[in-house]
Amino acid sequence: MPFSEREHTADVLMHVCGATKKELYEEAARALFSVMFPSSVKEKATIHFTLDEEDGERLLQEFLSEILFYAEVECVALSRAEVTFTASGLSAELFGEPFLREKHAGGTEVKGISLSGMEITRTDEGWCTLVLFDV
Amino acid sequence: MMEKIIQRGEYEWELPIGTVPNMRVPGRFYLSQELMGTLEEGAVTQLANIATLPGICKNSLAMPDIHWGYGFPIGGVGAFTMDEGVISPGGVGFDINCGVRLVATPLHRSDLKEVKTVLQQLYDIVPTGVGTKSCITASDRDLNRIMTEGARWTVDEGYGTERDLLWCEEQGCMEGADISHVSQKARKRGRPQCGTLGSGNHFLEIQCVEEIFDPEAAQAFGIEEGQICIMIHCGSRGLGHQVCTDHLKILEDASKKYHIPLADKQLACAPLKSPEGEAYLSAMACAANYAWANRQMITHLTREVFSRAFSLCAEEMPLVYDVTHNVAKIEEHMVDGKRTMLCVHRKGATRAFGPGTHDLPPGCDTIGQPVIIPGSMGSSSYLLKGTQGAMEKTFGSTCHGAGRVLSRSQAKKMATGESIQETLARNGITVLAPSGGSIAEEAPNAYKPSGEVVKVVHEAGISARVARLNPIGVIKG
Repeated sequence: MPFSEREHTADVLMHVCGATKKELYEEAARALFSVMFPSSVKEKATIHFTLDEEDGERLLQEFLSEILFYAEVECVALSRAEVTFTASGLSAELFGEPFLREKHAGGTEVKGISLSGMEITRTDEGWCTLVLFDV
Repeated sequence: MMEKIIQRGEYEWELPIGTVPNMRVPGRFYLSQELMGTLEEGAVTQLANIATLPGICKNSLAMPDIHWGYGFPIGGVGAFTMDEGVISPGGVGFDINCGVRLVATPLHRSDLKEVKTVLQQLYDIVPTGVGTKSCITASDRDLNRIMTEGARWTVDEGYGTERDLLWCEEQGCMEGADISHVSQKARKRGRPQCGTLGSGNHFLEIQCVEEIFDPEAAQAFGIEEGQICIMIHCGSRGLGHQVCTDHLKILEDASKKYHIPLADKQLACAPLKSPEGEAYLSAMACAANYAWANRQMITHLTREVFSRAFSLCAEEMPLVYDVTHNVAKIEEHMVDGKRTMLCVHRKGATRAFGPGTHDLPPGCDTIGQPVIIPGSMGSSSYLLKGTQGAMEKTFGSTCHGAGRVLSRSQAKKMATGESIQETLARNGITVLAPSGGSIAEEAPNAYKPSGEVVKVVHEAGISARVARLNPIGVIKG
């Protein structure tokens, strides 16, 4: 299920769904990439990280915050994430390519992932949540 | 929700206790009848939520640029007592010390025939947009000084004048910065970014002073009609964003530890006198100082372009002032006739200290603090002065800009960046940006009319008009 943007005056509010928790996380990452890197991004490089955190909104918030950190310090444009849940949290693989201004400029910098309104709920189709990106 | 609002004056409105459960004090906001249609329920709820926090003093407040954000609404102000009050990153935001500065030049409009050329040179030299890096990479030692000394570091390195520091809120350096509360992650993000604009609503504009309302104050601030000025709007970049992210987690745990019920998870907070609260405040000060160094660095790059183009020296392009509009500060205010120390959160709100207060720039003791209100790219920006009314009503605070009325996606649906660029060009405004999308998101009609917002703060007596500036060249982040 794709993410969809909801109306929010100051920032970017995304409604994200997934048949599984894994899908929910990967889709939330895709929503984030769509704001930061709207142009096409090739999968030439990967970044790997792990998080130790209990399942819930905070793990999702940390996962997306970690993406912001790596995108910036590794100077990469990203297009996809793969998530594997572990006993202590999660392990993530990000796919993208080195950021080139002439190719990837024009996106909006996301300053942070707000906890405001984030609530992961079970639906008939799987899992859903709202995620607010401060831009 | 909206039916609970009570009108208390021509421009003053109240949210009574009970608008949301557990409010400790009423909320109060400033808006004209004309702008009431722009008020969103989400923003009203957020204003009411501030009033539920422990130690809130007098009222939770919102300025006329109020709009729906997260935690506090944008335009929100909350003052908390030192003994019972809390500190919350939800009242500051991710972009700690996002702020605005205005730089004067000796040029008049007629001197600036080739706006496009100068603007292109500025665009080439000031790193703008996602993924850009500064022309300097700060060493670890530099970064320590940036975080503890703010704009002072930049001036010591030769990127500014001593006078610049006098014309900055807090002289460009917030006390209490403790680098031990800033993570390695935040440092890593901060090292290559000092001197970068960022994206979103951040901008660099060439403006012309169109109108003077208060000649005495304008003279004290060094502004006259027809003068070319430069306005710079940006914040603490990735370092500040990471400080907020890191401490939000700590403060979320602290809210549970200190049994503080939260109406919104982004209002995560801790008592001001707790280790967690003190840690956030000192890390926030580090980020605030970084932002001042950042704006000073961009000022230096801007002066270099103008120096080359018009044979000017830095001293001929003085800083008019620099204000922060996302910060929490410990300040002394009069509460029920007593001098009281408070922690004042301003989230999308500007300090507007009146005459006779402390931290006023030279020669402004009887005038008040300069206040800079950026407009949107097509509309006017304003220079105001702080007033006694602000000290009495809003803990010395006023609005920070026009305030959005359209979401970014709505704005993009209404017009393309290219069409906005053409319309603005017909009105004599040149716009440069990394993409059409970033122009469309910041379309002039996505914001409340800046003149109307400024009218409210002027008429409500919480600041007073000094001058109006119109954009002629805009660089969008």
